[in-house]
Amino acid sequence: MIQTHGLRRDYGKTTALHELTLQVGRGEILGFLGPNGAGKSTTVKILAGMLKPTAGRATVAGFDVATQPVEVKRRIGYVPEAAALYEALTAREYLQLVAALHHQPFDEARRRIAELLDQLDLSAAIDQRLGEFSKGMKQKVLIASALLHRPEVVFFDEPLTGLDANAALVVKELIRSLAAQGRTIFFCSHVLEVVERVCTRIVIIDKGRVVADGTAAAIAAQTSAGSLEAAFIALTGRRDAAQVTQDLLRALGD
Amino acid sequence: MRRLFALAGIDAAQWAALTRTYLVMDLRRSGGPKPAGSRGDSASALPLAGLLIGAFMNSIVIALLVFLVRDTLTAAAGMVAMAGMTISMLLLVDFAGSVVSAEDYWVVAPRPVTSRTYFAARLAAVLVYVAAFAVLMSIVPAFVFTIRHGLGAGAFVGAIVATVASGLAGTGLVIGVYTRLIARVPPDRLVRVMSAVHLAASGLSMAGFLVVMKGFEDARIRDFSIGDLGWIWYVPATWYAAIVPAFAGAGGAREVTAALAALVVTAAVLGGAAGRISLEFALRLSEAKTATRPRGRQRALVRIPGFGSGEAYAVATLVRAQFRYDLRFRLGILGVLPMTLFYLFLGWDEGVLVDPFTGSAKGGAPIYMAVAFLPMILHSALQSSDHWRASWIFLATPADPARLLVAAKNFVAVFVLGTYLLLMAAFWAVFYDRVWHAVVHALIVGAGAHILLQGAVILSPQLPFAKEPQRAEQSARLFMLFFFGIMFVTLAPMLLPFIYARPPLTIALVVLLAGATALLEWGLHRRARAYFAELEFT
Repeated sequence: MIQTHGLRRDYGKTTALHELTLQVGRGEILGFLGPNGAGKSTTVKILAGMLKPTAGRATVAGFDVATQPVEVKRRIGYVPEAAALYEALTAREYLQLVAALHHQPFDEARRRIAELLDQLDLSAAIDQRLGEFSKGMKQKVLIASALLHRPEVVFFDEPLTGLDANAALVVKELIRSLAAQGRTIFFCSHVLEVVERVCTRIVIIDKGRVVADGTAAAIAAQTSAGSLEAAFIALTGRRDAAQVTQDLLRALGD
Repeated sequence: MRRLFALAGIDAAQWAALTRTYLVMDLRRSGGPKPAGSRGDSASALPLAGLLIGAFMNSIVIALLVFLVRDTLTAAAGMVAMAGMTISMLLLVDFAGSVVSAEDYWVVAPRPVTSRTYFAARLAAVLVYVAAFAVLMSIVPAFVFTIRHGLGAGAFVGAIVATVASGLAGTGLVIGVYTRLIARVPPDRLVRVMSAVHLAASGLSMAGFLVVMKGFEDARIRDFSIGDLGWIWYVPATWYAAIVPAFAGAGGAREVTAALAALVVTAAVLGGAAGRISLEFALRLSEAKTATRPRGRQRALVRIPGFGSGEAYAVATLVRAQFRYDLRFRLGILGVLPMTLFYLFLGWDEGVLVDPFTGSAKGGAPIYMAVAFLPMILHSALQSSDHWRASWIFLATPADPARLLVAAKNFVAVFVLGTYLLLMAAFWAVFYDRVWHAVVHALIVGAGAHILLQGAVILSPQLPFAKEPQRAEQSARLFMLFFFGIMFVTLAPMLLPFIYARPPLTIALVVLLAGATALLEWGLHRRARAYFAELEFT
């Protein structure tokens, strides 16, 4: 469902992504990990047809992201890291707008909006302005808007940010169910435990390059680390965590 | 209709949904009706009320001009020029919020929407906004054309069409210039380049306004017909003016041809802007927000005396950083600067350089307007920002909100009002009989302007950059301040020469101003503490 070959993206003289080559199959849940600034969001934006690659090629659901971005966008759902919404609209209005942009018939959209907001426990706030929503509520609206049109591929960029434990549980279960339906999930997160538990395969990138690809156990074995967390630090860590903690405490004067 | 849209490469259903959304959002952000289920709303009705008052005031001024000038084409040219320049100023002052929003990228870019459809929707929303304002501005002059000029209903429609068409062409021109800039200038330089162009465009627009106003002050123009000048038919504003006689059936072939040319030019300018507003445009705006100056060109923020520590330092740092990087704030301020220069020029023109201590000075109200105007506008511009949510920092730290508020007022008083007064004192010192006359006059005018500023802060206490921006907020403020300010500043040039001629009265005025300043400063602290004691970050 997702294929990239030699994907590169430059921002001026800085290269954010180096020759990324990747394949993700139907029904797969890919955990995409990396430290801050590793190139995760750039990759997602390219695959979602929002950003043009400087070099290389990528296809999503069989369509080229650079030359057929609109076809790609018809088939994907995207939950961005930042809760970017039109805050002057109500939840219902916002989701109706998204449905209209996906050419969903009005009645079907209305039914689907009610259904999704009910599942995400937001029915009571359906006619409230998004500007009045909490961070977690906004995140739920973003998730609903990404699933409204039944996408074949869903990109989740830190989807659990701001969600309470119950909602986070629902989203994790939702991701598994979507994959079981044959949808492909591209899951970016910093929460390694969640990635380990939810994803069927993990790719770790650092400074725009893939440094590991496999299951959590395979990656741990590859680095001779006891866990995914230890493997992640070994592959991407620039400083020893204990040393950083000591330095911070010293700075606090304790 | 759908076929027509398809031929233009626009998805009709998506266009309708986006246009409806942008119109609803604009209305709500300018203080219009709230959604039914909404608990509360921070948007005040000021922008909408301000715009309506502004449109009405402009309408009256234009109608007066149309009433005084006997020749229909000349009157129409004055109307079109003034309306066109007002609309351009409106767009320039509120540009960053009016035409496109950086948040569009995150909401629309992941959806299957082409840039052309997005552009068409954004353009439609802006054109509705401009057209509504143009219609409001042209209704009273349209009546005057019908009654005073003895023309029929055609002139009524023609006056509205001419104003709307010139407004739309001006909008297309502004969009065309800015979007070309955004496409060509790297994000790290965008803020500075846009600022320079914005300042030049605002200055040009204001200068045009001044030329038209001065031109129509001349009594000879009232009996003059610009149509007799051969060269005037090469000026596009004349083509738009010709729409009025052409629609009224009072024009010949020349007027009809010119009117058709105006409509063709409008379509061409809007067409030229076509495809310019794209999602890439929104992305570049978003990148410009986060772009920093290239390495090696960063300037360290120096400590300013009086703003070197605590809340005052925080405010000074914040204001300077916002001016450097916040496009909305920067363009809003730069859009207002030419207007104050315009008032300075008008004041100069009215003989304000005559020493008021000699008792012979008359007029000069606009110069007092300029001195009082910019500090108040700048202070109110300091209240809102796209980054308003970051104001939690004021409430999560032991900073004293009242001190922050006073520091923001003092920053404006020192750096804006102070700079103005130094400039004016230097000018006056050259032209007045005694240097000390210039110094005392500058201090008294400055104290008056500072009292106005204190009053504005007491009426609307707000932490710096802590309010969500509203559509047309800045333009509305300009109109409201102009409306109330003009009444106040007419008193100063009448009273001051009278007071200066009597030394005991001058001393009494100085004491009164000092006392009022101290009293208001005390009141401001009290008001701020009472206000912020109730404030919660929600």
